[in-house]
Amino acid sequence: MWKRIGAMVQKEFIQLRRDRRTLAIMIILPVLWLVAFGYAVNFDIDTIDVVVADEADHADSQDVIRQIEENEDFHLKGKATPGEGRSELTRGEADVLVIIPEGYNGFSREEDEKLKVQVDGSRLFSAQSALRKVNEFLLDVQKENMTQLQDEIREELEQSDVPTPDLSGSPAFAKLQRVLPPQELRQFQETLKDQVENNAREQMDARLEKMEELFPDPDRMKPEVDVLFNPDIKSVNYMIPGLVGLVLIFVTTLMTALGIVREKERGTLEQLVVSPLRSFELMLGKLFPYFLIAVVDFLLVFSVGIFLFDVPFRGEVLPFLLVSLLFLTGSLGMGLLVSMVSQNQQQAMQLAVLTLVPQFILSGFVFPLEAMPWGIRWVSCLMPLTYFLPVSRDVFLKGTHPFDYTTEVAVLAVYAVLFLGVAALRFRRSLG
Amino acid sequence: MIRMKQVTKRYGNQTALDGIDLTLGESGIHGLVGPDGAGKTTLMKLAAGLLKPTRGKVVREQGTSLGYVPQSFGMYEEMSVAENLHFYGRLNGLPRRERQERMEELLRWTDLAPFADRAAGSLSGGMKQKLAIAAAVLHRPHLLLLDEPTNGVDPLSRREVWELICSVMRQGTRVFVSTQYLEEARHCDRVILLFRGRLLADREPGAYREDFPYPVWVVRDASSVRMKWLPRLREEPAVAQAYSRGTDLVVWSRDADKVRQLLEGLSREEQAGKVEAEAPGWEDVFSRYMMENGKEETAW
Repeated sequence: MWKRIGAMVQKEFIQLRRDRRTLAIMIILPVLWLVAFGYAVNFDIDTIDVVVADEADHADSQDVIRQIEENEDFHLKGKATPGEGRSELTRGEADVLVIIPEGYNGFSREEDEKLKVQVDGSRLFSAQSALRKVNEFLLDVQKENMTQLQDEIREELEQSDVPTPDLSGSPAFAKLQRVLPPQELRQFQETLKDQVENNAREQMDARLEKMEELFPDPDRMKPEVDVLFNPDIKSVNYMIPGLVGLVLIFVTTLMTALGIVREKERGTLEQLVVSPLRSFELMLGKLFPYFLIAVVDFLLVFSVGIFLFDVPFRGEVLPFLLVSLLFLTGSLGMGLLVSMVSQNQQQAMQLAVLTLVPQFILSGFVFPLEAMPWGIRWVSCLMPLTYFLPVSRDVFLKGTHPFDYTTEVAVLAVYAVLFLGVAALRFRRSLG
Repeated sequence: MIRMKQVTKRYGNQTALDGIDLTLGESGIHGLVGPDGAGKTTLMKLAAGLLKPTRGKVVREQGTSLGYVPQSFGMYEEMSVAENLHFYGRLNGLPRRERQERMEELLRWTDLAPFADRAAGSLSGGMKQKLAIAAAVLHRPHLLLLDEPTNGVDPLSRREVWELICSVMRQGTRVFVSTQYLEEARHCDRVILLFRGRLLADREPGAYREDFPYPVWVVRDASSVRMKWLPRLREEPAVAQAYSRGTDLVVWSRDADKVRQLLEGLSREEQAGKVEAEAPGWEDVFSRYMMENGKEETAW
């Protein structure tokens, strides 16, 4: 039995070596995806192009422009009228238009005196980044205005002189002049002056303190935010653990389906069926090479993710491998099922793509499941990748143990048994 | 041996084979002849176990090993001749040494030795068939099933393929081979005539010709007159059948003298060639069966 399976496996590898198109799909595709998702696909926009329409043109407005210039997230493209700025947004030459109205000052309360910001929403990811960065920037502008105001008040209070009380005209002072020797009187006068000044200073400090309490300090108002597991919110840390699953399901489903249908289409399957090879030996012999290649692809994406893209892997390798194998088994079964219902490679390719593309879109690989309406989300619940992704991402980034995900692992196990079981039965039946 | 008992195979509403009773593996070379759509491939596949009958039974005697060469080229085109043979040898459980020896023997036998390292897909049609046969007989099966092995093969290679089939038979393997080339029936020990899913006859080739009931006349060089003559001849009660074959006109007669006189008269009037008597060919033999079973046109 093992000799026959060995012959099949060896034959598959000879064919794979010669079939450059298939080989390219299996090796180049994961590498291509790695490059795409590791380097090219980045939802964080580094620099936002800003156009300013300065209708005020005074010190306060120039302060805002200076702050835009100094902000490293923004690239000031130049000044324009609001109309010109809008045109630049329309043409896609700028991401954000900041309009500083004529009556603007740091504390404008009137609607038509406030800063106005327009963002190009047609570019989804730029708009989201721009909104986040503009909000941060406006907070900074507010903070600087506030600090400036505080400093001005403090300076004014500090510079104000405390008047020394002049007692020379009062009858009590005349009495004291008569009683006290001149030296003691001078001392008394100075002590009194010091005390008055001290009292005034204390009152001023108390007021300053009160003022500081009353003025909201934007820094103190801001909650302390710690981003856990992916502190820099790097897209690559999110994408690579998902890519591990995508590569597994893509390579195994597509390759298995094509590999078996090719035999059917070329008539070689008939030769195999007439030979002493049993149906499960034939199935094992066909699946094992794709299983091996999928494992190689998995390790490739896994290692490149960790060593080249610095994606942290905080979980345990072995349990993660086990869950991945479970997922892989289901994917092989899916490929086998596709091959059973396809008559030629074109059909198999179409059907495989039909099962894979929804997984790409609806599994949460790119778009969050939580954002999907239930009308669509139930479709996601049917897809194996939907259950593998959270496990993979959390094992990578949070260091969670994969077996803590009981539901996900159980569903993957059911899929593995169901797909491979049904496919094996159909395979056996179709071979007579 | 493979026994078929009252085997019927249907695809939807279409009956591909109807009540076939047949035993394979009793004769050296058992031929299966029939026009396109007769059900030859279905019968082959049922014998190979690739299809299940809709009704009836196909029983393979225990221990009967099979070799099968499908109609389409069933070898791996991207693999070399030697790699293909190695693979099928391993699949059939031949030990390394025996496999190597048998492979060398078959490569010599098929004249494929110089092409051992060539990709199977780049071989000519005849060489492909020889490779497929070599792969199917590596393990010296009891019965070799060949589904139209000479289809689409040039005449010279067809001869070589048949030489190979005869050698396989001489080495002790029984052969069941289908063909649409009638003259190839002469290589067989027995010939089955299959028509519209029904087995019309299963006899020795000589028997088909011996009991052909009509004397055959041939008018040579009749290409210019045959279209005019054919309708007229077919209406003559003394003519059993008339058809054109190349530039000749072939006529089966119920009354030999009457038909000869008729043809000679026509030939003189219209300046056609000589009228000659001829022994019935394979085309005549099988056309007779088809005619008797309701097919209008007699030409194959």
